[in-house]
Amino acid sequence: MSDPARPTSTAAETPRKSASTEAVVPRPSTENVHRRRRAHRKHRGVGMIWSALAWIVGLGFFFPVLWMVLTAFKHEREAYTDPPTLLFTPTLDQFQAVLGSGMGLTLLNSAFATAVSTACVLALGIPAAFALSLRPVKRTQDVLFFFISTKMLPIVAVIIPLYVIVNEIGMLDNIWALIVLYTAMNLPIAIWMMRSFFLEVPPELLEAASMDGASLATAVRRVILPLVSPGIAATALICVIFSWNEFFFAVNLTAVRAQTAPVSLVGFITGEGLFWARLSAASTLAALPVVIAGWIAQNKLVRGLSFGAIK
Amino acid sequence: MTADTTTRRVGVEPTAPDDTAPPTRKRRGDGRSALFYLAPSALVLVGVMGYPLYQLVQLSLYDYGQAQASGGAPLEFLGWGNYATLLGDGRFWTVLVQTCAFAGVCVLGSLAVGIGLAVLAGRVRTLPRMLLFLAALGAWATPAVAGSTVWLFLFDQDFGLVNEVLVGIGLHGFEGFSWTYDRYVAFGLVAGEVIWCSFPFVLVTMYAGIKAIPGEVLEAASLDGASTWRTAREVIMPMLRPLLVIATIQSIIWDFKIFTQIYVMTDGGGIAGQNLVLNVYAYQEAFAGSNYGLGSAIGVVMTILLLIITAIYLRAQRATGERT
Repeated sequence: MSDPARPTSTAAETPRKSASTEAVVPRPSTENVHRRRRAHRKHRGVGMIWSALAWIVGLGFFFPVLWMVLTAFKHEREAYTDPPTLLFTPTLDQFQAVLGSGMGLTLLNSAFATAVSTACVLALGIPAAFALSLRPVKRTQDVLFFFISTKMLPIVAVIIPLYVIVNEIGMLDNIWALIVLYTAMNLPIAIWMMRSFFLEVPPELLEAASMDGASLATAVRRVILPLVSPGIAATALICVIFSWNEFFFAVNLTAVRAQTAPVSLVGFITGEGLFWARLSAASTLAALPVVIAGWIAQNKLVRGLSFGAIK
Repeated sequence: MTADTTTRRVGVEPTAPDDTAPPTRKRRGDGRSALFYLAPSALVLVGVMGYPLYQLVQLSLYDYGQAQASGGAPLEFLGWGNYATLLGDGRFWTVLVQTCAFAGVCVLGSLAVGIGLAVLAGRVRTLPRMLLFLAALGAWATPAVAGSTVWLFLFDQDFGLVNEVLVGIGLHGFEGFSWTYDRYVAFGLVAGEVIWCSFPFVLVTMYAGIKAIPGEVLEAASLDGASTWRTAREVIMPMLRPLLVIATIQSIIWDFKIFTQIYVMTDGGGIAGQNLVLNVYAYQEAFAGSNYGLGSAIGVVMTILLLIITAIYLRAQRATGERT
């Protein structure tokens, strides 16, 4: 442990040790409580500044989204006024118009492509991440680098060969073409993240399981996967967000049948100018499922990521 | 025994002790099954990305335009011709420098905002924290096309809310001020939008990382008399490194390849192309200029640049990891 070459081990061990002693920490004495209260009062001023900062930044960063949602409930003529209209009678006209123009289908397409590609990423990525977490050697870094390097191809440049291939195999305007591409798009980052979660699992667990006569596959399924499930959930959510918002593949490889939600937004920008209120309504509809999913998954996401945070 | 197993988990570096251990049968079995587990992912990635890459490199060596694509003219092999054209073109160098600077600002910006807000979120009560997360989720969930349009609308010259407010508080210079006319102002505006939609990823990963640091570790540091700065640098940062590396690489790859925001917000690259970045430049050359060969050459150059930058970053990270 005193070996200067690997001091990170102390960092990783400390929490473990202290976590085990946590349960036997004695209750604080009265004097301690008093001291803590005094410190608390001193910190309250600083805490207020932090809070104020959080409110200001939070509102500022939320404002563009808020403005978009507000505009979605306006009539088109109210969206363009100078100065901007703040008080108005909300209307659902824009949502009706957007859904009437076939946005529902694109939302379904997006949902399908997102769900299936995320499932594929997990099916392919979990074994790969597990394998890369098994033996930390120099090769691991090379393999990881190879995986991530596939993300460096500029989509703009590969879209021509991709278009030609997809056209030749007759998959243009087919949602499955997008599913394959989204899987490849998210796989590298998913493997990187899930590997860091797998690294957290003590190898003794696997050894113990295999001593009990379990095959490697059984041991992984029964012992390790349940442990890393929060991390996998977090990775899945990140893949969902990336796939849901993907634009460039979708705009070039789909037309009517397989169009996704982000692509359908463009329809409100081009043509006879910008339908600002309608675009806002469509964008709100496109963003809503992700916000809801993210909000539900928020606790799980943060817990999941923190599981793999410290190696 | 405990110390050894811990280091084994920690030791991602080539210096991990079990490297020197004699290979046992079990180990080699591990290696073979590792290959078996890795193969499907590798196959998918090579299958989906490999052939387009091959095509891209090949295309970049030809004079390939509209005429060749429609079969109207014979293919002419140029060799390094497209690259020579590119390297001799002053505009390419301007765009290259612009792209690197813009991506650098965006990466540093998203990391700074993301990490800053993650620290902030860890220090405030539930309500402001929920607001921060809601803002992050909203920005993350808004598709890039919509986000860019919203920003453009808020910063509109005539009826944008930002100019109204700025004039309202007495800054009359902003009456009819155009945020997309000047090159640097326009880049600043786009960078703002890019940072806005990419900080959530950093925020969420870093917040999780900070939350995972047990209070006891920080307490121990402060008992040892470490200053806040030293605690941050020598205790918190090393623990956050794995996640920070992932967030940084993701940001570099993203921001270097920015397309939608520049394309939408500066209307395809700004006045006389003053706001072009490589990705948009490649698109303009390939599609608007119908010069697929040259566009592909730009794509190859971008890929190589990204590979170099990421490799340097990873190497530096590994070096730091060994030193601390």
